[in-house]
Formats: sequence, structure tokens, C-alpha cells
Amino acid sequence: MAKDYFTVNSIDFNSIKDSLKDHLRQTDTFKDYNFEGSALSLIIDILAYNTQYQAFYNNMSINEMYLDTAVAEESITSISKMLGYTPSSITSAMAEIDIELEDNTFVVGSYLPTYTEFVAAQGGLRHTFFTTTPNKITSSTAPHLTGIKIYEGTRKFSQFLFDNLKEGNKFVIPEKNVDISTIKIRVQKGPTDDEGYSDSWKKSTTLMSIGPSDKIYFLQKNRKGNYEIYFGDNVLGVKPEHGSVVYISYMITKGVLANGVGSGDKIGNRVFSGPAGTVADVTVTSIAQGGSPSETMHSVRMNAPLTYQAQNRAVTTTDYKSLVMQEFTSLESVSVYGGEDEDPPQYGRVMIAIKPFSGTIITDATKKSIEKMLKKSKGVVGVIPVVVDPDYTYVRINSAVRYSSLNAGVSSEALRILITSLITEFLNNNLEKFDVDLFRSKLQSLIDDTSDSILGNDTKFIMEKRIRPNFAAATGYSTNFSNQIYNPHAGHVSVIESDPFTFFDSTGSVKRGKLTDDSRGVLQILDPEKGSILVENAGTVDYETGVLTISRIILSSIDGNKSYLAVRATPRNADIFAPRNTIITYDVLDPSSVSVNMVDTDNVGNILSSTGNDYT
Amino acid sequence: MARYTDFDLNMTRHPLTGDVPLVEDVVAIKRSVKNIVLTNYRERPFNIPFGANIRNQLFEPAEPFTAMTIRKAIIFAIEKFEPRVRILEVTVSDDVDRNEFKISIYFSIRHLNKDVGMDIQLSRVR
Repeated sequence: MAKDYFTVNSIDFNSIKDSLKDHLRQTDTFKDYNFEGSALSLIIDILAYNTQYQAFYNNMSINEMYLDTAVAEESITSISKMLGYTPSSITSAMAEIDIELEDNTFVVGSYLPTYTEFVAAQGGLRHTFFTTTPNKITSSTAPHLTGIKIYEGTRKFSQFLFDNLKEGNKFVIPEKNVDISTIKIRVQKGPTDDEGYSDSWKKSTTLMSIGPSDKIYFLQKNRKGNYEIYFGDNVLGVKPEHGSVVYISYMITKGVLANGVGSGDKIGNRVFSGPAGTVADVTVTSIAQGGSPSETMHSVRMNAPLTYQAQNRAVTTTDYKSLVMQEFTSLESVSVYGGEDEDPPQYGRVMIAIKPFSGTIITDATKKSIEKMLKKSKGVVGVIPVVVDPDYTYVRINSAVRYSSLNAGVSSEALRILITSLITEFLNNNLEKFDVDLFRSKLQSLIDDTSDSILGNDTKFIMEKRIRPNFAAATGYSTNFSNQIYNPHAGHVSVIESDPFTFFDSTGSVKRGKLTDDSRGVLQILDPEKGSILVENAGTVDYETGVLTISRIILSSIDGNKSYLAVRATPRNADIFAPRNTIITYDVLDPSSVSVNMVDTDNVGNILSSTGNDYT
Repeated sequence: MARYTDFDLNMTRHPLTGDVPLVEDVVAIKRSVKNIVLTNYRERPFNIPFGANIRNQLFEPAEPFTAMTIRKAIIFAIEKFEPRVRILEVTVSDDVDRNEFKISIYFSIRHLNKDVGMDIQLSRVR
């Protein structure tokens, strides 16, 4: 008897075709389904192809309907719009400058106008920067203006006619690399409308307290990836009159490419130049920073639901995270945790650790802006937001890789280089973010999978903290590895070691030493060559918490003329964790950060002489 | 009762029932052989090497070497895709005046014990 149903267990062409054949096998009318040349086989092919095509199409369509599975940018943008989320745009880099004006070209109390242009050339690129507000000239002596903020970009203008008969009236900004924070909008009813000429409309970020007379505009990203502007309906915001002209000015920017402009600025070799005849000299006080790319689709996928959950208020840690990421687009990674998790605990505070796209820490001004934004309208009364810098833990990787040279097909050195590059690629792709731990098993699998000739590997991590010393005065230092330190028993070999340095001892003479531990929780300073103890008690180390405290000491210099003192420790666990504001990273410029040692098991001498990182 | 049944790819309606007519045994197999010979590679979905792929030979010079290539392709395809027949003879001759190749295929149908012959003309349509 013929089956009265088809099994639907796959959308694969051959499975569908087999299902159709199964069905025909039960009938007597057509028997040639199994012969490829038959007309029946041709029809089965077409039916199966059509079924598969439809199934694939439906699968793709449904995937694009949900934020978790959508791939196309237009789908993700459209869904995020439903959640009230506007993806962040590319943002301009901002530099701060002091300006000396030409003699007799200014009056104290007058203003340097908005959109005064400053030009800088760096790295073969010409960058234009603008002021975005008028700046008052306050001093008659140079510098005449100080702390002036200038933004990288190129000014653009668009104008549209507001047509009441047209439904929607959405005005699309043609450029994709527009910094939306620079958009300024005016709506003029006619040539004599002075108020319309001078009044700037505000961007609406919330529907709270918006009335029918508020001059606001709404901004969203359209399906093609362009930002578009639309207005209210005389209930939520003013609706422009029919025939009004909408003027839109904005800046397009190079984003991250302008970060760092101004770094080579010095007397006699200025980076910036202002308008000839007006500006005599420009001194950079803060190099250009904060330029960032537009938000990636991966980021939109993560942030849109969080922002929707936050409902524009900061209560939970994810609320803080999503609000900060949304308002300040130049931030690469944000970690938020309660002050009670700090050591010592800081009750009533919420700690916000931030890593910017460029550099390792954000400026104090940005920290204050973030705290102000959260305190002003988003936060909970009684909870104080505190922005903190990331705490970087550097990792060093030592791997002993056992392999069979008879099966390798390439030299030991080629294999070592390949493994090293894979490890660094893994570190580049996975580290430098908050809440990202480093798991040894992941790296070990990566190494084992490099080649069939690799039999196994013994990979170990070393943690490194970098202390910025004060060379001018006796100072105590403290750093936290935030991981337990390896110390199986008192009397175990030392697991703490610093770079060699010179210091002033108790008699005032300069000595050279390095920090180490006595395995009982006390830090000592040893002579790096002889190994003799120079200072019995130079601080403490807590093997359980990872906190290392160095007693007051006057450092004179660090070997290699480094500006930091590197202190290394062996972790107790196989993995390294990144709690709170810790970011795990590695020193790209230090080739010894990743050390791979190849051990050929086809050479008996190598097996006997090779050791991993064993401690006794 | 017919051993092989297929339907008529011409899709002409049966004058009485109005249904697509069936073709059986010898006719069904001849149609199958013709389908194989006239199908080019990549015409059938997900079955790239199905067919004799001889249509592109029509743009080659009309000479014995081309005819020989076509003949070999036909024999290979029928042996591969039509297990119900055993090839007896395939001849390909060029008709220069008409710009076409004439193909004659003789085969024996295994389970019906019948020898069958069929002719196919290959010509450019434009």
C-alpha cells in the first residue's frame, strides 16, 4: 500500500528525491522513477529542486526575521529599529589645542567662529579638523584660546522640501560615514523666517516629556544603511509646515584613521595649522582620540536587546553597560560590577571599567561625562557610578610541543613558526576584552590540531603585571594578579620574579636587584647575578588572592630603560581568569611573550632532555 | 502488464481521459535513451555529469573526428545511465548539406529480449 505521507527530515536535494521515489515505489502507475533518463526522473528532479529551493528560501527568510539569526545588515537594522535602537555611527576623533592668534586680528571677548578649520598632515594623510562651537577669546596674551576642542571631518550640507502630501517625509543623509552627533537641523518656512534660520532642532532620544510644540527630530538607520531623519506629527513634536525647507548639516569622518593626530607636535614643528592670517600658532594639548568605526552588526545584535531591556534607565549592570555603549561610541569594551565586589568593598557604588578603541585608558574628561550622564537621568538614587580604568594582566606563554619529525614533512623551525603564529592569532582574536578568560585547553587543542605530526603539548601560562614606578620618591606599590598564585607548600621554589632594577638601599647606595618571593608570602630583593639576598623583607604576596604589595622603595631605573617594572607570577590554575576590570592581554612587541619549544620524539636524546615547566 | 511505464514528456492530453498519456516498455526506453543523448552536462539539478553532452559538439567542424567524439560520448552516456539496454551499434554521420549530424542507435532491451533502432538528428536551431 502506498504511503500517504512523505517523510520530511531534511531539506537536502537527494533526501527529498529519495522521499519522492519511496512514494512512487508504492504505486503501479509509474515504474521508471529509478532510471535517470526517464521523463519521470526529470519531473522528480524538478519537484525535488523546487522543494529544496522553497525550503532554503523559507529557512533564510525566517532566519532574517530574528535578531539572533539574522545575517543581512538590513535585517538586523530593521529588527533593532523595532527595539527602539539606533546603531551607533562612525565618530570623529577629537583633539584639544591652544591657539595663538595673529596680532591685531582679534578683540578680547569676541569669538572664534564655529567651524573654524584646522589642517593636519600625518601618516601621508591630510586631516581637517573643525571647531563645532563658537569659542570666546579670553586672553590678550598668547595663548589666546586654551583647551579648544576640534573634531576631524569634512562638513556637508543637504536640504529638502517638506511636502505634506508626501507620506512619511523621511530625509535620507546620502553619506554613510556621517558622525550622527554632528547633525544639525534647521527648518525654515520661507526666506524671511528668521526664527527658522537660527533655531536648531534637537534629536529626540525618548518620548518622555515631548509635547506638540517641541522642535525635535527622530533619527534612524534605513535598510540601505543610511541614516534618515523624520519629524513629529504635532502631537509628539512639531510637524514642519508644508513647503518648509529642511537644512541638514553634518560631518563625515575618517573615524579611527585620525586617532593619534598631533602626537608629533613640538615647537618649530607644529602638526596643526589654522586659517592663514588669523591663527599664528597651534599647540596640541591632547592628541586626537575617540575616533571609532560605525557599530558592527555583531555589536548591534548584542546591544539592541540590552538597550531595550534597560528601558533608558540604569538599574542592573547590563543596563549600565548598554547605556554607556550606546551614548559613548568610542568605547571598545565595557565591564560593570558592583562596588561590593571591589577589594576593599565599596558599597553603594557601581564600578564601570572602560577600554577605548584607541589607547588603553580614556581621558578624565570622558570619565566625568559618563558619570554625569548616568547620575543625571539614568541612574538610581543612592548609587554612585564610578568609572575606572582597566587593569591589564599580561600573559606569557611557554609551550613544549612534542612531535614526530618523521611524519612532519616540514622542518622543526617551520612548524614552530606556524604554531607561534597560530597562538598569536588566537590571542589577537580572543583577548583584550573584559570578562574574557584564557583557557589552556583551547590553546592546547589549537596546537595539537596544527599538524598530524604533533603528538601533544605541555603549555603553561605566566602572568605579568606592570607597575609604573615613581623614580623621584620612596613609594609603596600594590598590584593584583586577580588569580591564585602557585604555591603548593612553604619552601617551594620562588614563583614571583621581576625584571632587574636599580634602587637605593637603606644606606643610600645604588644597588641592582630583582624581586622574588620566599614561598612563605614575603617578597625579597635578590642580587640578579649572585642570587644573594639584598633585602630580606621587601613586601608581601598573598598566594590566595594574588595581591602583591611592595614596601616603600626608591627605584632608580629599570633594566632596558623601561618605564615600568614587570613582575611575573606562575598561576595556580591551568587557566587565567579576568574578573571585574581585569583585561588579559599580551605584549605584541615582545617576541618572548609566546615561546614555543619543539621536542622531536623521534630523537631519543630530545625526549630524555626535554622538560616542561615542572616545579618542585 | 507492462514492465516499464513512464509518461509522455510531450504532455499531450489523452483524447478520452484528458490525462497525460503513459508510454510503456519499448517506447518508454527509447524516450529515455533519447533524453540521455540530448541532455547536456549541468542541465539536471545536482547531477552535473548526467547526459551525453554532445550539443556543444555542434559548433565543431563537421568532420569525421567530431562524429567520432559524438559517438563515443553517446555510448559512454547510455552505458552509464540506462542499465536496461545493451548497445549493439551507434553510427554518427555528418550531413554537410543540411548542417546536421545523423545519429542511429541500435540496442537490445535486456529484460524484453527486443532489438530496437532509433534515429536522432542533431542540428543547430539558429
